Amino acid sequence: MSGLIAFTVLGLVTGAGYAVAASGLVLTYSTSRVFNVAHGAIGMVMAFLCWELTVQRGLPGWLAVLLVVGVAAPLLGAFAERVMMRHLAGAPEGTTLVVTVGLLIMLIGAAQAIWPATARPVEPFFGQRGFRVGSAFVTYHDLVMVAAALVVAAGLYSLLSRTRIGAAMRASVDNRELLRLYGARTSLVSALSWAIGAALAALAGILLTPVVGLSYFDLTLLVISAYAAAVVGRLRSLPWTFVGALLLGLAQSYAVGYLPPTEALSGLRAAIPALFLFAALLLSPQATLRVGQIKGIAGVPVPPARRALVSGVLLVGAAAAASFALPAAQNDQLALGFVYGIVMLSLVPLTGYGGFVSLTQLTFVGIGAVTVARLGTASPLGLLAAAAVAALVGALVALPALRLRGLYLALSTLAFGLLMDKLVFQSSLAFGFNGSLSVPRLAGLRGERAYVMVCAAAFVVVGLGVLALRRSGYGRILLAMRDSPAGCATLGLNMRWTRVRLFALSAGIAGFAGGLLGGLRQTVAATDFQLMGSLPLLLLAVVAGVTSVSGAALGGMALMLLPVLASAFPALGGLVYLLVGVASVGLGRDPNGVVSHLFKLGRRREHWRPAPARRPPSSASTEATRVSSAEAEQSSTENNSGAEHSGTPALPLRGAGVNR
Amino acid sequence: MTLLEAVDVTVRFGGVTAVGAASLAAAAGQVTGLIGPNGAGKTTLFNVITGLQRPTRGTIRLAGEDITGRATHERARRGIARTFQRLEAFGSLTVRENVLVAAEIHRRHALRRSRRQQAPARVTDRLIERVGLDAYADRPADTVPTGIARLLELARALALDPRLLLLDEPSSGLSVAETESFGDLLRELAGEGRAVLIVEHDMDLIMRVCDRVNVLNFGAVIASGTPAEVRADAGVQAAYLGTAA
Ligand SMILES: Nc1ncnc2c1ncn2[C@@H]1O[C@H](COP(=O)(O)OP(=O)(O)OP(=O)(O)O)[C@@H](O)[C@H]1O
Ligand SMILES: [Mg+2]
Repeated sequence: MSGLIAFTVLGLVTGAGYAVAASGLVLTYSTSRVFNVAHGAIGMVMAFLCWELTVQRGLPGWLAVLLVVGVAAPLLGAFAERVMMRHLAGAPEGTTLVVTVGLLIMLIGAAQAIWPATARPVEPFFGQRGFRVGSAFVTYHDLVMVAAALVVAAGLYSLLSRTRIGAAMRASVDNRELLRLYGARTSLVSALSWAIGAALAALAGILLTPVVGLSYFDLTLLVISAYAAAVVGRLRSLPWTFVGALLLGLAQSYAVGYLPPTEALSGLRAAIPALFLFAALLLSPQATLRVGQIKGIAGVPVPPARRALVSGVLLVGAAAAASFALPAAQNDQLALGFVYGIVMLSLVPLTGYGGFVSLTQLTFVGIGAVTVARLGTASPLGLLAAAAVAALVGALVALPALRLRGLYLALSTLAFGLLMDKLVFQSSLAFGFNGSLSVPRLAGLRGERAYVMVCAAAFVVVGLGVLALRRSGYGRILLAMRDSPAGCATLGLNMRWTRVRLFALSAGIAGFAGGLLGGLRQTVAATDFQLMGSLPLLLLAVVAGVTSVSGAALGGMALMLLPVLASAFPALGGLVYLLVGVASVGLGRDPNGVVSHLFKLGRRREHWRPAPARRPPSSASTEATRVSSAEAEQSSTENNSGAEHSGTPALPLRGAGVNR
Repeated sequence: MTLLEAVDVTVRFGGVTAVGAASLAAAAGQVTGLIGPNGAGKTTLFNVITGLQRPTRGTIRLAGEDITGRATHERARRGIARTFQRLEAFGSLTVRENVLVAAEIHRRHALRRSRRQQAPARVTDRLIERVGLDAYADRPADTVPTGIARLLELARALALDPRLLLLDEPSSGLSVAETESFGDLLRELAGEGRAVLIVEHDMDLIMRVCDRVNVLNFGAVIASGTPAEVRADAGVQAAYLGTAA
């Protein structure tokens, strides 16, 4: 009985912390329509800053908190909105999500650069002092946490219902265009919501630090707890979000209190938010489809099958040549680049064509690696088994979010990654507690050179498969689903299953790469496949170009090179991630990544060739839907039609639309 | 024969009643008009019929079957197709691919298999020609003029070989000559035994092609009958002159 009261108090207190974090998340999302994956990371950086001010600079606690929550965090939030999010109005949800992932990585990079990793014990406010309530002990820190949640609740309530700007914030939830018509300053509203959101993230981060620890990753992952709570309020309702936060706090507290403290369950505490989230998703009502306007994302050209095949053969040849020129250790790096390339290929159908985001692709790689390790062989059959197991798990992850929008699906992957990190990968089913597994290489391929060639060939085969998929009817359906879900539904497409299949496919490719990676590394551990590693992977994939196979190749090599660069030039360390983060900001403008610019260079040359103009007949009564780019498109269309007639394959400007 | 029946449909958005207890029917082989001032609830009613909007109250029946609880894609498979007032074409696909993807989905899923179902590519070519999109077939859909995009949505809807075709302001963006042949196409489609339900602001087109017309005002059906009857209706004239109570 006394235990129950103690656990209840603890649960409510933790829940209060979650409520503070979650309310900030909901406020930002509902007013600016950008889901801030970096919400926890903002709290993390601010908690570190608070530690710096108090422990290092000797400021009194209350002053430090005031400075951080009242000044630094709102500035950071408003700055992020100005610099990163401003350009994203109307961008697809996937793009905005990836940009906030960029922000998250930048913040982690900055924190690691400013505060290098050491143990930093953080005392609760007022130390361990407190008082007894019946049989339970309540510290003053607990009291502050609950008080903070109450103040936040009251403050948000009066802001939203009593002030003009608050009314504008509420209105922008429903209709931004309407708000703009009435002359409300939407940019001010959006900046303010980011400032307040960041302040609440900071407050939650600081309050929860004694519970979670002053850790880069655990504090960053608070976003999952906040999101889980917010799902209860369907990302809109603040009161329900508070209810969700308290329920989550209680669930966590009871689970830790009453489940046996075995090694296998040691990660349970951290995994509860993910489990809670899946339950909340399953109980959420069906999402309605939005009806909007023609959206299209000009893709990079889809090369004709023959040219793709030739490029593939050339790539394997180049890999072979490089493997002979390089020493053995670097051969392994080269092979790793190709394996990463395959992982990035797994994102091409999912993110590039389908517009869905997976935040935890490395987890599927890990599942593939575990599969081959458990089978004891990385034979072709073992690799297929790795793909199959990963695909099955991928389908299972997509299931709970089946009835919901893409955003929920992306965030479920985040929760799934956490779950695997904390529970499954640590269990005896996978690597075991802090354990590792050994994987034999393909029979007869013990040499590094041979393995480079295998990996390069595997990349080419998967890449050709992805291109074939793009040219197929299924590929068309994926693009159609991305452009207009409502349009697809009225054509009779059941998007639920299409989505599940897409997720399974993507996870399967990643699992296949995991099998290869196992054979390459020969020893794999849970730390190789952590959620936090998936985020830079996603970001690099998107920055390099997630709509094309060549982008995947580039991204894979870049991901392999990043740590190499970082260790060669330690000063670069966080800077590299900072750069990748900055690059992601450009995504709002061009979702095709760096590779598309390489293609554009090639295209510019095409323009020099004179071609007979063949203007599509114009319709006198109509106006172009996309006025701004109409000019540019027109000229290139003419150019293409001319080139096609002379028999030379020209690069169409808008290749995603052209089916050859 | 009545194909579609919408009975007592009510849709509320918070405090706003977009559609209030509206009832309406569309018969196979006929073109049925749905007209009304801006904001009358026409598009909302279309959304309810296609399942994109859940009604607060009311029933939708297709050929006698209650489909109110069915998902949008299930209704499409039962033979409902539509176009959108705010376009929903697939912008990254070409005009031809837009139609092709519809034909492919239809072939895979249609519950009613017609005896002479053809290969998607052939269906697509025929429709592109029929609707008059040849000149734009290989252009990406987000670069064509809006009038063309509307025709594209029509061709895409026809790829489902629908029993019931819902058109939301299809002629806006078309020239006078294009509207003329568009009207003929509508008669042809009805002649094939389809039920065509059309929302239009172009009164000449409505009067010319419709067998029956329903007038919606503030979410309620205030008149229905032949074009001539509706034109003569005092309440309708009042609604259109803005003096309605
Ligand atoms: N999702 C929504 N949320 C809130 N109100 C809505 C929503 N959709 C429509 N409305 C409101 O419902 C009413 C009917 O809108 P609807 O679009 O159905 O009218 P309409 O007859 O199609 O008008 P128009 O001729 O301009 O296309 C309008 O007052 C509109 O503002
Ligand atoms: Mg309308």
